[in-house]
Amino acid sequence: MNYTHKMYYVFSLIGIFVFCLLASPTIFSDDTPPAGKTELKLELPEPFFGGTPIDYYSPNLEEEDYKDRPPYYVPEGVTLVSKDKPVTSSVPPTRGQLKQITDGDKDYGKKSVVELPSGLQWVQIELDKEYTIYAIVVWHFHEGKRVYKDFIVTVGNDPEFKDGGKQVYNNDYDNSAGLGIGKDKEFIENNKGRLIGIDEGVKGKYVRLYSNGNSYNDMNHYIEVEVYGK
Amino acid sequence: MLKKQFSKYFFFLIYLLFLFVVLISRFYGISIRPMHCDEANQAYKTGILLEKGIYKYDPHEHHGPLLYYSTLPVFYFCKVTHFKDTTETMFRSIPVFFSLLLFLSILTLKKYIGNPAFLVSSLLLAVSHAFFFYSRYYVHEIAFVLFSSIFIFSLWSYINQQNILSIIVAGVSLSLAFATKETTLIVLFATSLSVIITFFYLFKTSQFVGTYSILTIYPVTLWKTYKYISLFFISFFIPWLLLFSSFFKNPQGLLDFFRAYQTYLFRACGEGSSGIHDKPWWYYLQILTYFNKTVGPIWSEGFIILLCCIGIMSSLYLIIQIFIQKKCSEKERKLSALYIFLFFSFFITFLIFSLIPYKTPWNILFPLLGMIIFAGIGFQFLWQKFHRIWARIILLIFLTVGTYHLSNQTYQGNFIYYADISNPYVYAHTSSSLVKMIDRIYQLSDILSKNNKEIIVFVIDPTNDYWPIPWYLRKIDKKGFWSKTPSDIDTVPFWIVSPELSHEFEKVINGKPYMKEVYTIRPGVFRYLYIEQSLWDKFIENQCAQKK
Repeated sequence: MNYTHKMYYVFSLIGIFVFCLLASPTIFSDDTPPAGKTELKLELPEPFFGGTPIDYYSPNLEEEDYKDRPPYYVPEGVTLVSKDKPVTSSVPPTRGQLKQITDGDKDYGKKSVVELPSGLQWVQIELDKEYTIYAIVVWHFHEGKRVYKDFIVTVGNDPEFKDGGKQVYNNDYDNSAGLGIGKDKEFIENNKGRLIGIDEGVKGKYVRLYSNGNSYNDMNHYIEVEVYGK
Repeated sequence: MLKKQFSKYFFFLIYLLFLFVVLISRFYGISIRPMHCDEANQAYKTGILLEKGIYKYDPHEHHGPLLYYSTLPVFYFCKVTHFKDTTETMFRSIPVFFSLLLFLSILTLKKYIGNPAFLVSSLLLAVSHAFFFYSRYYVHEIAFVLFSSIFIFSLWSYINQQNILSIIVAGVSLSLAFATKETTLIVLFATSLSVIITFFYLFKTSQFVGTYSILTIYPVTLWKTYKYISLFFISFFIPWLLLFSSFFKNPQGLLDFFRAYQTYLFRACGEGSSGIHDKPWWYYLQILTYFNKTVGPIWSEGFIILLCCIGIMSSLYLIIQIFIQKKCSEKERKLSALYIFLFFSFFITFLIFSLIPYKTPWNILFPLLGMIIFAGIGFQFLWQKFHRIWARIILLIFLTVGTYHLSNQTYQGNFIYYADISNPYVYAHTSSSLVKMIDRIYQLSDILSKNNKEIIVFVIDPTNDYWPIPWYLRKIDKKGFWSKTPSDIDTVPFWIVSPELSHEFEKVINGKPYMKEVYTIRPGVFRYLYIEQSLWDKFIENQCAQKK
């Protein structure tokens, strides 16, 4: 075996090693859901292409992720429990009707938007009974890039949330909403919506979502909210 | 006779009640909208006048002296002697006051245009979104509309009656209009053309009423004309002299009055920085008829435009009828002459405003007033044409629906979308986010005060684009405005930095811990607020304690 042959084998082995290293996440990844769980399948609306890049900064802003969202697994039997369920709000909407928030239309078009006035406002979905909720997906207005501030989601059994309910998301980093300081991130809206996964599940009949304006103006917008539970 | 007098008093009682409602509605929530850069800037200049008694007419910026001087009585009334104690309500009460006078100016037209036209015009003026919005806006526009319209109406009164009072009012109001805004020159040009056209019309129609004089009731004599022209100039000159010379403290202002037109001519052509305000000729028509941006509602003052078109058509119909029949009563002749006079005075101005590239939405107010008057005339035409009860009920329903539509828009534009870009009258407006930034500074200042530490705010922007921050920081004594980052940063707990300078600033602070937040001062214009980290930590500690 001459020197050239030896080098050929050495580089071939290095090449195979590097290939295996790079391919290992795919080779060894386990797409199969954990026992007793199933992947949460979401119907996503068309993305919006256009507008101007967002010129917004916040110490709490999540970096924008253009990749597909990794699969999220929920216990078997979990279904969409919020479709066409009644919605109430802190104040009457200035545009659209509250029932649009649970009607399944997630399009970014203006006709799908429900707008609430400026300041801290909430919308609340009343489920038909108490469920164990495993995921909540929220689409604010996603025509263009916006960040909704003081976005807080609570689940509870009291329609007035006198007990405060159980917070499952809170990105109010300075307690300006007065509901406590949250550790969750602010994020840029897109067609994928925001999936709030609740691995251990939380029981409740009511889901309340707060927001306090957005990076573009002071208004509060909702396109769709989906609650998954069983 | 007694019945007539009673109905007259009753009418004025109802009208006073109407004005009271207008006043209350215009004051309600007057301070919720953040101060626009122009409002803040003008308030600041008024503050200097209040504290130091200094005002100098600037031929390049800020328009005329009237707005500043007219605000002083509010401070005397509120017993305020320092700028830091002033509020938005104090400043904005002045345009509200002028807007109320605007109703009274239309009252002078009542005897010429008729009761239904006057009532509908007043109603539309009260509910017009544009008028409501800018009646609570500390800029010159409402005062300009008021004095320009008084000038036009008193000139008409003079053409009709040739009395001394009309000519004095015309002179004073023209002078005050010039002391408000330089664009009065356009109104003067339009009105002069309108006077020529109206006289030509009166001359042409004089034979139809069997007389050969232009004005049949009050014939013009040469001596009287000289007397009135002299009176007009004297009444124009006195307020002009007082205001532009800053009550004889700045004689240079009188010369600057003429020099200003050089500046405004360039600006009108879109020269210099004013190029950002250039818009197509149909811009004003667009904001009046159909405006829809982002998620907000569809805005339109179309009801006024529709009635205005009917008013113009009915005026044209009357004039054509006079020429076809070659016969008319003196009343018809005078009424048609008034329509011609008003039409050309307002709509030549509108045409010029539309042709000038420099456009801002508040410029629409003066032409819109003309449209409102013609809308009243239009409704009166329909009212007089349709005598049957059911037809008049339909007309009233039509008016109610239109008024509701306008009122609803006014409500939305002034109480919901008051600082939102979707509102056609919100123009380069200060965002509510800036108010939140200032609130944050004041919140944290309380912590500093409790610890006996100095409150210092430094603002850095390379282009000196600070407004309206100086207004909002008026209660803080120690503040600085810089175009570069100063080197001494040790004792400054708050920095407002433009994004272009944030890297330079972060180099200067050299790792010193600061909390960084972002705020929008106008749509698309951001500022970073840097807060001393130790101060921020204390604030968060307090916030957590509040929750517990």
